[in-house]
Amino acid sequence: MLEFNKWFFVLALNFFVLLFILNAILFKPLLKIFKEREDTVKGSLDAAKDMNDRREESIVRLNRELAEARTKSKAIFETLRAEGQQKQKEVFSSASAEASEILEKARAEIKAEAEKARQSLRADIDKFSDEIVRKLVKV
Amino acid sequence: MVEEKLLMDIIVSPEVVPHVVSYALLASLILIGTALAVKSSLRLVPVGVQNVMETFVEAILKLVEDNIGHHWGKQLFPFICTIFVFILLCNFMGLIPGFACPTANINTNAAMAVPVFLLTHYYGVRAHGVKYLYHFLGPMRSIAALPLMILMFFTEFIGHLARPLTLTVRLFGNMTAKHIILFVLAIISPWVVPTAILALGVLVSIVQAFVFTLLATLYLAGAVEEAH
Repeated sequence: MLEFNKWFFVLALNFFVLLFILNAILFKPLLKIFKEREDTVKGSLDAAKDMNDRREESIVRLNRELAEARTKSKAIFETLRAEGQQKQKEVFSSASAEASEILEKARAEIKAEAEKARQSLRADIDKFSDEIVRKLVKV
Repeated sequence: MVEEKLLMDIIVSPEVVPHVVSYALLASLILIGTALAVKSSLRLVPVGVQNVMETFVEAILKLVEDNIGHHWGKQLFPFICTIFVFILLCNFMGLIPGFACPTANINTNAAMAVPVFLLTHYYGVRAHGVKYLYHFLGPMRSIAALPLMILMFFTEFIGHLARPLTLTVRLFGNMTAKHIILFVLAIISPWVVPTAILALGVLVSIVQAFVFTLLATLYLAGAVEEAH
């Protein structure tokens, strides 16, 4: 056991052969797998980070577009309301003018009718007076 | 000492190839077989034996990269990881009846400790060039400190020479002691005590494999880091 002999060289050769074989068939492939795994994890993390960045950007863009749409819709609403109020005013004034005109016309017509009736009654006054007198005398 | 009768004697005679060598070869074959099984079903999401292998490999990769750094660590990782899985399997083989423990022999341990020693200095020179010598001269480098630098050089030199020796003997001592204790207790009081020692043997096997690996890593890390 304590004898240092020629078998040392055989064992050293065995060790070196084992080293080269294990390096070729085990360590190199395993290190490659470790690297691939690291790259995959790193790639996935990068992809997740990219997606997160894109999500943040999308949220910012969505909020901006929402704010723009709100401003735009408010402006349109205000314009339409102003237009509506203008239209309402116009309709009111035109209806008011029309009503005044109809009223004036009706008044004139009533006045003419009254005058006509008055004249017709005036023409019949003498006839009605004679009738009254004759009836009184007869009595 | 009388050679025990073991399973591998069926395939190869211990007179021709000693147990230590035949079981070291068997350990290599088991590791290669496992590696092939893992490679044939390699997936991004691990299952089965790939999980077990990945646990060992990732733990050693982390140990190496934390201590040596990413650049040199990547180059030295296969060497250190092979040491760990090989020693661990060899240590565990010593716990199975009918199997021998190749690490309970200094030739097996030296076959790993000497390459650790050689690679330490090879990578030291590769990383620092001539300045690697600063590692041997201690923290003070001036003319006034020359005697101290010479003293430090010899101290470091002896320290570096002792490293493969201590790596070899530490693993050998622990594995042999465990083996002998199990053997003796099995004769004196079968079942209960040897079972407890066997559980301790599992722990020692893992710890010693890790200690060898950790020290090899630290020696290599010390060689490639900047001299203080």
